Amino acid sequence: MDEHLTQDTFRKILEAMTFPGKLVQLEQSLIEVEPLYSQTVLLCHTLLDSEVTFAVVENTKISQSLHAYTGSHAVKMEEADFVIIPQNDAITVFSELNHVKIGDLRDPQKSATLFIEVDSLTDGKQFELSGPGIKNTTVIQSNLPSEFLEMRGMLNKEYPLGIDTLFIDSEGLVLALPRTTNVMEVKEEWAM
Amino acid sequence: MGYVAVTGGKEAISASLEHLAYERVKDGKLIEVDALRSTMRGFIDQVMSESSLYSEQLAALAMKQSEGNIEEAVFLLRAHRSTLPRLYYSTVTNPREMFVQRRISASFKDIPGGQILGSSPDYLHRLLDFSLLEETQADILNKKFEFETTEVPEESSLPLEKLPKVMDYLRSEGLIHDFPLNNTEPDDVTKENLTFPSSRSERLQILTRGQTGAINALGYAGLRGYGSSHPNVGEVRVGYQPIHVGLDSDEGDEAYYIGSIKLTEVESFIPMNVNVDGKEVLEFDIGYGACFGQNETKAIAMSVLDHALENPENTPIHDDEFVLLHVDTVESTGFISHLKLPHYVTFQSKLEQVRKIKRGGGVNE
Repeated sequence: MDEHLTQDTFRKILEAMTFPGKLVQLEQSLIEVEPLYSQTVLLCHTLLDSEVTFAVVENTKISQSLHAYTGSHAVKMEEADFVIIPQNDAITVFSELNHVKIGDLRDPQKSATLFIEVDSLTDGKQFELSGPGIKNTTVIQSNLPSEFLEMRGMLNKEYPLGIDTLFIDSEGLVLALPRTTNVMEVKEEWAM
Repeated sequence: MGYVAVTGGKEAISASLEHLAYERVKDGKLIEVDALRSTMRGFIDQVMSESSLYSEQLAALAMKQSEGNIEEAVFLLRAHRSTLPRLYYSTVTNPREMFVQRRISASFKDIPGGQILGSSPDYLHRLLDFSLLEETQADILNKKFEFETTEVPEESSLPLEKLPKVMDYLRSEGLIHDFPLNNTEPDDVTKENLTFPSSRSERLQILTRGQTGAINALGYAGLRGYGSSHPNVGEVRVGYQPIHVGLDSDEGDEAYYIGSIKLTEVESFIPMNVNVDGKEVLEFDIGYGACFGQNETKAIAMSVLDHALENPENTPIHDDEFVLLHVDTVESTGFISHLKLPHYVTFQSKLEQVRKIKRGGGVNE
């Protein structure tokens, strides 16, 4: 894997994490791991190595390929530093997330970062984001599953403990929801 | 005057950096990294040990770049080290398999395998050699030729790759305890914050990458009475230690040889009163020191500190917080250097307090 590509990707992840809700376009990965999105594979190449662990929800084949490409070891979800949720699994698996690492008070950084594949980050329901990195509020449009947002709310309730999330859509756009970001679904208002 | 804003700093700093760059080239002399690597062994060994990065070439480069300033060179190498990916971990390496170049014992004259003096400045008459002022490339090649054409036996009669340890002798007499092998995975001080009480693996890592002067000073203090670990050097060995990496478990336990590193290893014998069946008996304990390169004084001082920290007592040398938090080059030089950063506000407030007191008021008036 090209080092400059992953360095460039790292800067972009940093940009997305710094400004939650900002859409960042990633390049194509040089290696594909079906059925993951190309950009999810690129995220894995950038952030996974033998010093960290990962779990792919219900897919051992992806785990084997990612281990072979990155040197990172696949472990149980409750021990993983990175949890990868491929697009097709998205709705059903969120209930399993209640055991992911959220860190402890002395080491809140020892928590999981989630990569979640979604259909679209430009189309769907509206969500209003607020928190550090966002001036006032910002609105995103996506089909983020409400099951996930509920689970996230539960995992993040005791700051600084919690999880950080990166969403990747089929166009290769990335959006970050660090644990500090508040998410509110915008209820449709009827014009009177 | 309450607060002085720092202005105009940017230009001053870039001018200072230019000045520094000029200092390195102002005499128009060139020194090649390769020449440093092959002639500055002592510097390179010390810097590799303190930076915990084993690369003679990069240590020589750091020496060139930092104009021979050790703390800068170590800082450069530590910074570089932190950018390197960790591709593999080596398997456990056993200094019994070291290819020994030097091995001495101060405890026994006749040790199995013999005293091997190797190369060391220990036996020098420390007088400046003024002939080196005039040394030429041709002189160096002549000296090299002379050495290399001297008749030496083809093979050593000594088992240099399997030299027995001096410690084994004491152990066979029952004067040293046998300890069960401790195979717990070591804590990694470069990845996790140190917490107290520290583990032995943390202590050994911090001591081996500690600043040479700091380790020597504390070891010396320990000997002079600020500690109770007074050792006999059982064995100092210097040589090349083979390093292997194991590949993933799915491919079996095969380990591949990736090269050798120069290592100094010290085992000190420290007399201890032990209570056996209600009677005080004298036995020997071991203090252990090991570091990259040939750094014998440091390794011996480390063995004193290792033993002192294994046996906590009420003196600084036996206190892991005192020793471990103060021996690191980058931490100590970094903290002391930060005092040069602007502290205008803190100082103003101190000044204000002093002025108030002089005027006759209290601090918290």
